[in-house]
Amino acid sequence: MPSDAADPDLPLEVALREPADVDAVLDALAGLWRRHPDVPDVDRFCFETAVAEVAGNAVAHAGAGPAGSTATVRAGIRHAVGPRSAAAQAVGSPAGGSTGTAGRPRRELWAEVVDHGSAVDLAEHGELPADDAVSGRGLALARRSLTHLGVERVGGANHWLLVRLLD
Amino acid sequence: MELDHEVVGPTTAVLRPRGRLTLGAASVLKDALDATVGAGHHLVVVDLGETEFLDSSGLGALVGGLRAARAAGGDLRIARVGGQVRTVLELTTMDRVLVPHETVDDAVGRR
Repeated sequence: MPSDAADPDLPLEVALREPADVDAVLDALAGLWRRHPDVPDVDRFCFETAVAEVAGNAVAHAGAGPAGSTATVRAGIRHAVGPRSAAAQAVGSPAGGSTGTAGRPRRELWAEVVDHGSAVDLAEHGELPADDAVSGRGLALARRSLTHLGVERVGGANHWLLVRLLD
Repeated sequence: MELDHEVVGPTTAVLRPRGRLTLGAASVLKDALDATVGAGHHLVVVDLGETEFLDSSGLGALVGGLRAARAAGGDLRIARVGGQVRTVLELTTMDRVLVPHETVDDAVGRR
């Protein structure tokens, strides 16, 4: 279980039932940025983009799950943890070393999204579609925004892990 | 999201989405772009100066508007993009297709 010992307000948690809830996730992340103003803009932009894409994907496919099932997003900032589970489908590099370039412990932005939609094959979402396509960029954009994107199928639900390494 | 619409010439209009262009707002923008092109404003400038956030559905709406405008013999151009929007355009390499203009006037071609 991730720990955010340095910040008692974390992790944030938002339920996803309808498209407007993606905005609720972004509102919650805005609170995270206020508490951690040292997170560089590029990391903030990339992370919130990826979280919005995976959350939006969960909302869009919520109808495929059991009636009344609700997707959730949890997110926060923590000291970087080691390589991710080999059991999950994943793309991107593992977290790597535990210290950053300045010798400090490295930190990472992380989010977990659980949805009850149909199983997802990340390998089918690696490439960007043609320039004139009006859809199909979401998960490819999320992959490009993160250090790590993984999804594991557990008990009929997709468990997503999103990580962007900082520092 | 709020959306302002301004006609600035016989065949030119400027749309200004304010706030976040996410899943819920993308269809509103797409409908507005289609209506704008359908009304004969074939050069559409989308002023993103007050668009705080763009996701792939918002980007899809812009691409749909670009297709509609070009099918009518016109174009869709974007102006005044912020940091998050520029990041999304670059990560999807769509900045080649939707080239950001510094100002609305630049996009309209008035200077």
